[in-house]
Amino acid sequence: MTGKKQKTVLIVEDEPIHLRVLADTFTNEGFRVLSAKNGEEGLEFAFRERPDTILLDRVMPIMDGMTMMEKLRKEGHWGKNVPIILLTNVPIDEETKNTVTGDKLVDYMVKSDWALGDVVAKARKILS
Amino acid sequence: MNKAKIIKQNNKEIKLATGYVDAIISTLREPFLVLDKKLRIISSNRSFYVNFKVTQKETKNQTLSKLGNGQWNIPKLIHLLKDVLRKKTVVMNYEVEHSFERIGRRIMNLNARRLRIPKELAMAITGDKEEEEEELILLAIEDITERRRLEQRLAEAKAKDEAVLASIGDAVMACDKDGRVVLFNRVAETLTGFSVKEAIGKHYKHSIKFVREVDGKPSNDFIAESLKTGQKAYMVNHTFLIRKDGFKIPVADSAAPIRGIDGVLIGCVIVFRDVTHERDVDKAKTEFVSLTSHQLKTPLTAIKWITEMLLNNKKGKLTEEQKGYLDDIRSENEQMIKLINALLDVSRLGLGTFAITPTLVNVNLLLRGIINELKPQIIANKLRLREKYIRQKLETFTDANLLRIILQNLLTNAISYTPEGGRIDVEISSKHKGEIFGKRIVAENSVVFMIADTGCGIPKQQQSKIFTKLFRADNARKVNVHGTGLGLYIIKSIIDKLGGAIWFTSKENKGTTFYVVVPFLGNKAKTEGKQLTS
Repeated sequence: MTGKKQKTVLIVEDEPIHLRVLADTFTNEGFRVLSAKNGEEGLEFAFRERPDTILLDRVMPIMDGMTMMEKLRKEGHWGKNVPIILLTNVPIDEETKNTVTGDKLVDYMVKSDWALGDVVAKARKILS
Repeated sequence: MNKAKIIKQNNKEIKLATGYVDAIISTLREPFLVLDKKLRIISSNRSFYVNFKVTQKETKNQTLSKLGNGQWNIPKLIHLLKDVLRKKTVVMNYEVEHSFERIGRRIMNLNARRLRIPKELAMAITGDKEEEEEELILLAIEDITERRRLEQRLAEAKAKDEAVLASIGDAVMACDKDGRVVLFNRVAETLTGFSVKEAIGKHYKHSIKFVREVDGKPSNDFIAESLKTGQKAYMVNHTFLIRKDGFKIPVADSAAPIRGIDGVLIGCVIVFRDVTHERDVDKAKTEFVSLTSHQLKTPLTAIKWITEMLLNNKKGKLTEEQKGYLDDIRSENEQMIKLINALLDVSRLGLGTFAITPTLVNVNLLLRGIINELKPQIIANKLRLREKYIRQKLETFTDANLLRIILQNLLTNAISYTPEGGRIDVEISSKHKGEIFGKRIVAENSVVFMIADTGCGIPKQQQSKIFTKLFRADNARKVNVHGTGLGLYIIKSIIDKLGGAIWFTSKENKGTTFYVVVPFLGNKAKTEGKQLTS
């Protein structure tokens, strides 16, 4: 962990077991973990707590990940600059690829392709 | 000169003149008659006798209406000669139809002329010393029965073609080489909203308006392309037709050249159809596959991550045996993930819904990157890898991701199926159209790869199935338990879509050499669809 201050990660994930494993792992790695189970909740927590980074699933009820990210990016300086990792099993499509390439602070990881350790490593990298 | 001499001279001249006329009439290919005012046949020709099966004897001096036992008593003809010619001196293209006893039904096209001639000439011609006639009728007869028959057959054939065309379920439009519409069927009318009248004779751009779905730009180029190159061309996926009322319909299909008998390009035929329904079905299929694979991956991700946590001793120390079994779970799970990714790709390849994004690719760098990633496995298996790059820098215009998948797959296979101490040779270069590569002629300027291993090879009887879905050769199964059987199918499908070629030579227990050809600039960009994963 770089920096003396403990980093906060917001995990927005509707699948309970994925959320549990991710939260567990990041806590063990020294992060302060916040969790939300859909995009609407995620948006609320994000603006309230202002985490250092967000792990964002795409397919969720009430509000999906891409919509949440869109809304986040529209809101002020913080919203535009918080680093986001889209962590999902949906393979990347051309449209999303364009969005992601255009936004320097967004990464795309297909869950089933990456080990937990890789996700943590990516989070650390994005925060340094 | 005395009177007798003048008369003799005149008679001589008349005789010459009539001789001249007779020669002309007898040489004519068409039946020809000269009649006097009483419609007596004064002169006729061989063509007349042959065509109408009458003899010279029965014709000469016979009244026309009495000729051939009254066969020639044709009301319409008599009307022409008696009435019409009274009012006009010349009548052209007068049609008469009649059923003759001897020759059956005939259609005749007639030219008739009323001719005034000097009395002396009349006497000389008719041989009538008391000839008062100063008028003759010239009658030229053209038998157009056969021609009519052909015209009718042609009209019938045309009607039949039109009926067939009208029954075709797709819209059909044909244009000449200048792009002017010469054919526009009913379905074309229905789909475009333009009537045949509005379309025919004008340039096709007035009635057929295709636009690209992706940017709304006009998309008639495939027609122009076909007219220019003389080859079949296809519409870009996806194309919309703009109807007369402005409404848009998704359409598909092609333009093909029309060649005349001598092979010269005379136009183009465009066939298209409304694919709204097909698109809906495809969309549903794609969504189903995406949804299913996503659902399947959820529990697999959970297993993957949980076993990772356990294997990292994060939840307490494990015995060697426990570690071993957990490792097996991890490995089997990875296999399932790979299989689902492969199935997803296969279905996308089948539906054509994967993206091709051509960019400038540094092929040497790409290959080196892949080899570096695989280095740990190469070293672990004690294999020797030799790379041969023909040029310092080799670039091509193609989809980098697809190229990567191809090379990764082939190299991974080479590594998996070559026993310890074996060798893998990789060679890349470029070939011009017509050059030889792997004993075959390269069809277009391309980047070519050769990947040779000293592995277990492919048994001869199984070689023909190597690119089929889910196929794994028997000896392969023994060497490598984990294999989806989809890798080669996928890369062959990709290579086909890129317009390239892949083939191999192999001998069991000796090794296999794969040859891949990827053409330059041969890739049509497909801007929608997902990237392939494997």
